[in-house]
Amino acid sequence: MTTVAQGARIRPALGWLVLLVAVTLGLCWQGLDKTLPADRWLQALFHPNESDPAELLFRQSALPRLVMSLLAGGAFGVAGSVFQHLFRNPLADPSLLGVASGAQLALTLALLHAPGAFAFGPEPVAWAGAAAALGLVFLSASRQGFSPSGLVLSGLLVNLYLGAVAGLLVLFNHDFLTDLLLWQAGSLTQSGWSGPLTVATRLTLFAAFLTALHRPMHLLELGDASSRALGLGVSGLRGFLLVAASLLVASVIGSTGLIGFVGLAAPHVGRALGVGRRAYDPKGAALIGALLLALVDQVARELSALVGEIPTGSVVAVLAGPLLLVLLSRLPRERTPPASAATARINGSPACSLGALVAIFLAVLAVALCAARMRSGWSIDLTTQWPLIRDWRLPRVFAAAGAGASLGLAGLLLQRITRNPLASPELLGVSQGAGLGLILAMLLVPSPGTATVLAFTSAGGLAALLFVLRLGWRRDRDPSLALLAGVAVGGIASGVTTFFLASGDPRVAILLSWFSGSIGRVEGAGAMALVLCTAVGLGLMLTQHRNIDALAIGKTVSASIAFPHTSVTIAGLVLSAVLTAAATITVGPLSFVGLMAPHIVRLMGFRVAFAASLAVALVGASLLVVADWVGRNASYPWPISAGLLTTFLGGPLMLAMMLKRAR
Amino acid sequence: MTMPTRRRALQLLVACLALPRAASAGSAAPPRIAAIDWTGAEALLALGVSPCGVSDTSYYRERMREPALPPDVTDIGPFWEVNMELLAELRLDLILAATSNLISMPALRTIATVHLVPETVPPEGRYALGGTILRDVAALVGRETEGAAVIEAADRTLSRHAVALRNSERRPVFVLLPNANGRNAVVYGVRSLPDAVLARLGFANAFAGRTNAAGVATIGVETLIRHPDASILMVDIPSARRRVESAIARSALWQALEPVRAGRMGFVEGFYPFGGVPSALRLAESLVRQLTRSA
Repeated sequence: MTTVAQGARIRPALGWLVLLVAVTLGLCWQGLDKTLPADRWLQALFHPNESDPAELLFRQSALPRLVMSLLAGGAFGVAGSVFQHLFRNPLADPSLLGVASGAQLALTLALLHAPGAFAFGPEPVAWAGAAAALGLVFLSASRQGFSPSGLVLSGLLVNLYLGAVAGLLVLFNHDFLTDLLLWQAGSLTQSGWSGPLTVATRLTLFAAFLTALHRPMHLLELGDASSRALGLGVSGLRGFLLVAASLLVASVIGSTGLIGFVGLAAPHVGRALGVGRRAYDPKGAALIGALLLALVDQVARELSALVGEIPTGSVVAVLAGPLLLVLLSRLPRERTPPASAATARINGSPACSLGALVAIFLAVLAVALCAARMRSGWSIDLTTQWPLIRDWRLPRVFAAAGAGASLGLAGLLLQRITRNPLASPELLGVSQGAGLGLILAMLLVPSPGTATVLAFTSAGGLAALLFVLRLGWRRDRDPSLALLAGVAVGGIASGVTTFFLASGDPRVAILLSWFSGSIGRVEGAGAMALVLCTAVGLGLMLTQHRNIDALAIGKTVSASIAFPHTSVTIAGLVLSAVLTAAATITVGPLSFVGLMAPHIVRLMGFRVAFAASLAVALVGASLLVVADWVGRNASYPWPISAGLLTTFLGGPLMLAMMLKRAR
Repeated sequence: MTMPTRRRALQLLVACLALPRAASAGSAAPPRIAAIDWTGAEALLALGVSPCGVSDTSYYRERMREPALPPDVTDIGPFWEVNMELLAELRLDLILAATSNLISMPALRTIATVHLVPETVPPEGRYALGGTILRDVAALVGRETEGAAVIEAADRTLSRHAVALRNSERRPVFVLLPNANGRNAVVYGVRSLPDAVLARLGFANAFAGRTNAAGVATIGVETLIRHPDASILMVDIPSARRRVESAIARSALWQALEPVRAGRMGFVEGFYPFGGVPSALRLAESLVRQLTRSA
């Protein structure tokens, strides 16, 4: 029987599970005992003494917090499991479909402009936001019959879009900075039982749905076609469950703020520990999620005694990251992510010529250099304003073009290598690592100069990168693992970042502005270095174009025709990493360009690596130059960061093209 | 009751403070200064010098009503990314900035001389730093006498406040900004402006825990429970006030707090926590109003 064989495989992992449970229980016991000695717990619960502060803390703060951590962790875990199953993508996360960013944006908007919307608490507001975001995602994905990759892409797009709007709102309202940031950091602190009660009812309801849909869910493992052949309404089931899981997640984060990672980590950890024997196991994921979040929250509570209150969300990210990394090696091999259209077809002629793209780029460059708002109004004067343009505008425009091109190239390489439409430079952890470097520079060096900041950000970005490449490079050299490791490392870094952001430090806005990707602070030398770096990268890709194309044939076939698949993959990863690092260090993280420029180019019809590399550099550069120009002038003298604007400019374009192609 | 006369006395004191700088304004051809750092801008205005550019002017006017920013001051963009082209156009002599401004925009040095406003809080507290900033900026624009006068007048005002408060109950005070869901609060601790002003008024800060470099800490409500004898003053953000109040009303933990039950809870007007002497005076006034009310 299979149980015997599996039992033998599971046993060592079972030890880890027992340890996890024991440590969690121990910490919980210790925490509660510190609030109120254990022998008084029953009395405090059943014969409460209202005026005793210790009892009050036990009943109204410590206990609800523990219960909330278990419930929220369970909810994230089960939702994560459902998402990963439905998308058949190990990177799927409950926040994937815009749920988190939709809820966040709605809560931010309501907090700033319609405080009355909170009459019934934050939950309806979070739901409305999540539902609106979900609606947007479904609208754009519906034409592809809710295929996993189509949904993931649409979700990513909407996420970036809403995140950008929320970022703008936060930046422009510093009075609320700490409040908004604390919410983003995710805190499980409770001051009563209303939070846990809300989450408990939602979780019960969702669990009932899931139990009722137990059989069809397992049928999905057979794949869409087989499930359909067996009479299963695949789209309907998928749509319904995604909505339900998303609302559940929105309810939780409406109460606790953003706590990421648990939904992503729980199913993986569960599988690695052998809790779930199958790929899809919502109960196991819920159990592990609850344990993980409770453990992490207790650790956060212990740490709070040493360094002041720490938002649980950031500790989750910091701790869940390494856990995920350790368990990556134990992970049963995942199904290869669905081959995207990016590699499915290599032939076909582009819809628009390279010459047209060059012309567009040059036109954009000219406008960006000459036309600008100045103190006296609009100016198209190139001669009398030349000193100003030379000293301030030229480096900016060059940096924008360089960053756009290099991120586009890095994204193209990554998507070709991993054959995952989700692959993008920021998933390598470079941006987050560099951000961490910047924070360290601000904390450690009293008044860091340009060189110090550059050294710290470069070191941070490269360290994160090396770490990711090394860790992701074990086990069968599956490139998707490199990305998963990147997500983990990025999570660790962003956890620390969020903690710093939520700490109420006045330098927060500067960090936020850096994280939104802003070109205004570039100096001439940095811009030139970036342009040079990009040119070298483009040159390398053009000379190696045949190898990049050959990546599409896959590893197995490569071996039979003596194509050095592994070395090409490694070289490609390193190149994309260096390009990302160069752009990130100079202008900050700009996530949209690296993700979307390759898709735009693909949708335009550029398939062959040679033409696609040139096109992606041009499209990326043009996108960012336009974004920088609009950002400089739209609300002069205030800047709107280019990173946010590329999302606005490129997002609808991308969406329109996706809809057109799918028809 | 002595309250109306006390209030009138305070108004008089503020008027006294404003007098020396009105008299000395516009003596020499002023240097062209842009202030990215608000504390620097505040110090300049208190000395009667008008900067030609300040970061985020509309929010400055909203937040720092006194001393008022003249209407002709140019907005140079937000402090996290001022508009470099505009700064270059302004032909400045001097830029007042904080260290963090230079981190985010190192190219500032190529536009004009950058003067870093002091920001290390001395052991005596944030009010002493305000004095240092004022003297520093005064020396920069050649108005040392005015600077000394402003500081002296402020010291006198604070002492009178302290004297006026000497008969009220000396309870420790929490100054905090509650999170909109009422579960967390940002509390002002050592090295913060409220801490320094409270000390000047003769009150103890109830929060003595660890804080970050800015002098604030994020705490859960349970921290407040350990100080049943304290008063709680919350920073009033008008648009969030209703949510905060309803969150507090619904929370069993808040309602069980001794200061809340005894009515020793109030709202203080929003203040600029990183400000210098003028900000300290404004904060002192609103603290005095609350402390006399709850005493």
